[in-house]
Amino acid sequence: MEHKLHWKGLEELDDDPDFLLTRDKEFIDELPVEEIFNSSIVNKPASRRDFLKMLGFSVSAATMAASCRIPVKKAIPYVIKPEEIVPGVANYYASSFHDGNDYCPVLVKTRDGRPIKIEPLISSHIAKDSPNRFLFGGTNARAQASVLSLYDMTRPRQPMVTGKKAKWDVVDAEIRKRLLDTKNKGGNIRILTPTILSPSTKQIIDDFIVAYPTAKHIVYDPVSYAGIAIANEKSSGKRVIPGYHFEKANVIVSIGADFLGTWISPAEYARQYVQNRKVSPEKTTMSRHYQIESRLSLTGSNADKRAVVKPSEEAAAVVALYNMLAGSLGEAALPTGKLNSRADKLLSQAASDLIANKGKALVVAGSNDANVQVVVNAINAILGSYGSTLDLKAHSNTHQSDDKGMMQLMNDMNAGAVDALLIYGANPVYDHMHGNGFADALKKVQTSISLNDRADETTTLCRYHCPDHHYLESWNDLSAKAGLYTLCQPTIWPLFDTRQAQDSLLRWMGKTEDYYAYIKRTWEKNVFPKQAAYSDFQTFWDMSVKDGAFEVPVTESDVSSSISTDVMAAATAIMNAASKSSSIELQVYEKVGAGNGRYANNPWLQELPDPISKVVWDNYLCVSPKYAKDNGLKMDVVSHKTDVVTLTSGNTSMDVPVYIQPGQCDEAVSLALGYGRERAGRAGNKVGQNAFPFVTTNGDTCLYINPSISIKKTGRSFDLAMTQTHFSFEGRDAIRETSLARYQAHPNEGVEEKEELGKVWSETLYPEQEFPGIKWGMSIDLNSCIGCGACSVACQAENNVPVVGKTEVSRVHEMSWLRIDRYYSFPGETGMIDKEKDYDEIKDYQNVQVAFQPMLCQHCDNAPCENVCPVSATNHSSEGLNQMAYNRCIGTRYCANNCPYKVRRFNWLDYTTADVFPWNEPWKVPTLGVEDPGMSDPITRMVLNPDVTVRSRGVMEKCTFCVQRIQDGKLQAKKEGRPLKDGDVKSACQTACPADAITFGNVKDESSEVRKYHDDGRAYYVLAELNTRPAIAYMKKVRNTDEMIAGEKKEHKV
Amino acid sequence: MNCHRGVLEGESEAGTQDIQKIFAAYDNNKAIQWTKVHNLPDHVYFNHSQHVTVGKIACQTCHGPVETMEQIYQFSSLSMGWCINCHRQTDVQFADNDYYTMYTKLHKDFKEGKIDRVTEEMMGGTECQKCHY
Repeated sequence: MEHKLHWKGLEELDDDPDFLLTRDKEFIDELPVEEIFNSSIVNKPASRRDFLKMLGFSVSAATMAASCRIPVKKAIPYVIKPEEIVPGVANYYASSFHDGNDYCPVLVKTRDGRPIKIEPLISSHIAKDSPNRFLFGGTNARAQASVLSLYDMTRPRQPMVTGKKAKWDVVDAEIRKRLLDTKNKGGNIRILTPTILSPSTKQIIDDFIVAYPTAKHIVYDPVSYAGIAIANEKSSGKRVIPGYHFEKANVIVSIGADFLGTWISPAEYARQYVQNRKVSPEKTTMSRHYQIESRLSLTGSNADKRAVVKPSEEAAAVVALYNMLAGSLGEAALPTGKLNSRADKLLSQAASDLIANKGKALVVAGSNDANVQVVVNAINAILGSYGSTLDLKAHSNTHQSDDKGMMQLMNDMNAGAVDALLIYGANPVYDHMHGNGFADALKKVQTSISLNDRADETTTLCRYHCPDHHYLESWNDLSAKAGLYTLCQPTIWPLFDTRQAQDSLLRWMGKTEDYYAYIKRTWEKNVFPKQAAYSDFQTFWDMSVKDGAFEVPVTESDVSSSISTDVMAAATAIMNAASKSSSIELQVYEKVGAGNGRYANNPWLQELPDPISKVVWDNYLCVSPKYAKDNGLKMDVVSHKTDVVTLTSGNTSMDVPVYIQPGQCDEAVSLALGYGRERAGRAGNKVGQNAFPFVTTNGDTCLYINPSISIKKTGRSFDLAMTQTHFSFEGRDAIRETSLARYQAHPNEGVEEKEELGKVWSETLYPEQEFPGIKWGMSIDLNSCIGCGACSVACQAENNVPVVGKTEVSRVHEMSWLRIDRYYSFPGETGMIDKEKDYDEIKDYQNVQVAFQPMLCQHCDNAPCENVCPVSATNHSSEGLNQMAYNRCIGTRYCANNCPYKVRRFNWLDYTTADVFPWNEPWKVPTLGVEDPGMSDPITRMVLNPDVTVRSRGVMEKCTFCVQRIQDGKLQAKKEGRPLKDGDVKSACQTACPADAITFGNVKDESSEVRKYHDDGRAYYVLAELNTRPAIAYMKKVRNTDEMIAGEKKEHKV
Repeated sequence: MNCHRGVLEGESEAGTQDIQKIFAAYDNNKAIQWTKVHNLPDHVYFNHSQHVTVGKIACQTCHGPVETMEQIYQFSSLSMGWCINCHRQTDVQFADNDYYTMYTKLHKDFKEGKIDRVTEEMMGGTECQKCHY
């Protein structure tokens, strides 16, 4: 068993003395003893007036207390109870989440008529071998967090005309008149939307164009994948994004595509990807993943082998790979630039692996340059990927952005050629590379109408705002892939006086039909005839709504045989473009949480630490450690202070904080999109800087690399809140990993180790725990975990975990019950490093390896926290749960001090305003200057899970293993009078995980899946040597490398 | 309407009149503001089906002789001590519900006569997180 050196940050690796001082403390806050004793209040003798004040307070307080009676509570039941509502019992509705970018079929959990949680949809209408099946069964962080956006107080309450409140009928009449006038005088109407997946909405837009023949529809996505679609048009005649099938690939090569984090459909790809990453004694093979990129992406951090290149060299890497593959077939090489030797070596390894796995290989690239994607298509054609790992038949319907059309629209608007503009779901003033230009052009449009669901940057410049519903209040149909239809149904009555955009369009066409009837009619005409299972439409419709999804076979002919590409022209264009490269280049990217900035006002996403940098509530310029050293840039993790630089490109210039990122290319910096919103709302305004102006274009498509930048140090510093080294393991060994070669040779290594452990565990001072019925346990497969953070947000939603804000995170007061620890390591040849001697020789910060570890309460059977609680507020249950009785907790925090896993969270402030009562609301008193009611807002509070206590200040809290779900699962079984089945209880983190990395269940049940994992050869318990006897087994990470890692155990000092 | 679908008359004239109020409210589609008699704090999770459907506890055990009450009053203290006490003293539907088959040791002890009853407490029914979470 190797014990490799894993480190969370450079400060930990370098033993930064300031860091070491804080590391060993569970609570970094010093007790303010001296301040109190030195303060004037204490030293001053109490004056008579003070005495009276105190007396006055205590007398009145006593009077208040004495007069308190048990409050009389009123109950108002339904006069006629809705059939489906049983108070206290949750209802689930199938629906779909789509915002123009992300798509995810979901199951909405509602309690008493309000949605409180998003679960993945598992649909019985989807065939087991359907190519679409990976869209189901998992979620991402944004889908999980979408329920909070429903209750966002900054949502518009009614339609607006030039910033003034208006009534729908007035707005409708005005807009209809203006549209008709425009039509009659032959004026141009434009409809601007992001990608629309809904066949019915597309039909409405077509109808609209029939009604207003001068109208045109322009599709614009803030982050475009048009390059792929254009390349496919060139190669196969179909302007589509293909269906990718990572599950069928034995070798995956990604050149700059973050397909597990943000690229096209990450939750789906993650689900596919892990199918062939999971190993077990029965299946000891896994896919091999090569990644070439310029920043450390979530995908790159999961790769088996990784090399860095400059952003502009990614194209050259694609051509180089083509040449290596074409060379083996005797075809002519294309002209290309030179790569660094490490990338070159990695590519040649990848090429030979690809050739050996023809038909079971997949190459993807992140570039939005159609020329690069043409070469990628040619590579995949050589490898026989079409029809296997690439599917042009069941293609994706997402991301249909027309970058050129958008530019044309702006030119038309500037020329005064657009008379009316309808914007539905797009916010180009914020998220277009020429956002300010769009704002200016918008002034020249006579009738500007926004149908956006927020009063965002673009909407506030429009004449009319006709706000759309939230998706949880809407009907819709979505077709994310050819042949797949999912439905979206309302799960709550609209909270505000908003109206679904499609209904608005129907009104403005003079139609009286509502959108629900319209969808049904479209389905009756277009979808119903495609199936044979139901003979009557209403039954078919009811079943489809219930199930949420419907699939029809794709009848199009396969085009895989006709892939033809002019790679020479593409390669020449790439060479010409590459001549613009410079010594330092910028790449702009999306973050896993924030995305394109649409959800900037969602505090769950803002406080989700970035999977790699672990920074919250900000974006920042990622620079490599070498670049930082060469340019004198500093980042102090302990004080959270980081240097600010001025980033300039052309006329765009902004001050951004730097973040020193291992794994970053020395010649590249990167900045996240989706920040710097001006009109996102209370939580999202002015968080970070807007990176969209740095996007460039090649005339056809938008490019997310910018080679002409300059960086200047400002001498100022900025507070960046990062959780990177919070809750440190102090150098103890929490992560285990091995190579595939070693795993294949010794699959049962862990079992032997566990036998050793048994000897340690048999010695204890305490009486043995007994579990008469159930013993709950969990397993987490580190090989499946991709570190995306969906579990973390799901936990927050399920368990009413509060958001604390940036300042509080800086003080290590974050409340997340489930955090994902990210560890770096050097891909040392033996896997072992003696820190004192040889790590200087191998440390190459550009080439670090990453491991993720979800860390939550381990529910130890020999729990160190339980022994030190003076009031037994935390104790052990007969089902193996480490229980926490909040009402008993007096807040000594001994338990957190004694927890080696650092998973207990103390409520320093009343974050969820559990203590607030109506006559104690400071934001209602204008003189106090408290504007933000936070969680005390009655609409925001609707998101709280009524089954889970809202904890107050001064109380310790932590993961409960979703005890409310445990109790519910047990009760269901009891009510049905049957034994508890495996899978009756699933934790929130488990259901949210797109990678099925988490398994929960009864470890006493020998047939349960969790037991199987606990007995597996890869299983280990974190810090098992402390005899804590955790209930969570981690499955060792296996990297697909051929290196035979040494087996001896070696201790290292940190 | 619940119970008053069947109970139309009170024992006294006043009772009957009060019951009429419920019918009037129903006919006018207007909800009645009831005074809640049985209150539990927010941090307690209580589920009726657990006790009625699974535990086969009669309503009157906790709510008292509701059928003879002129006006509903709180019959039990609903304090934690009262809950715990019942969990210590009441037999569970142990043999009749297949859910409990997993408690093999208790079954064995029962069969061997080591114990003569199985209470909720023996299966962890007095632990904090059975009600507080």
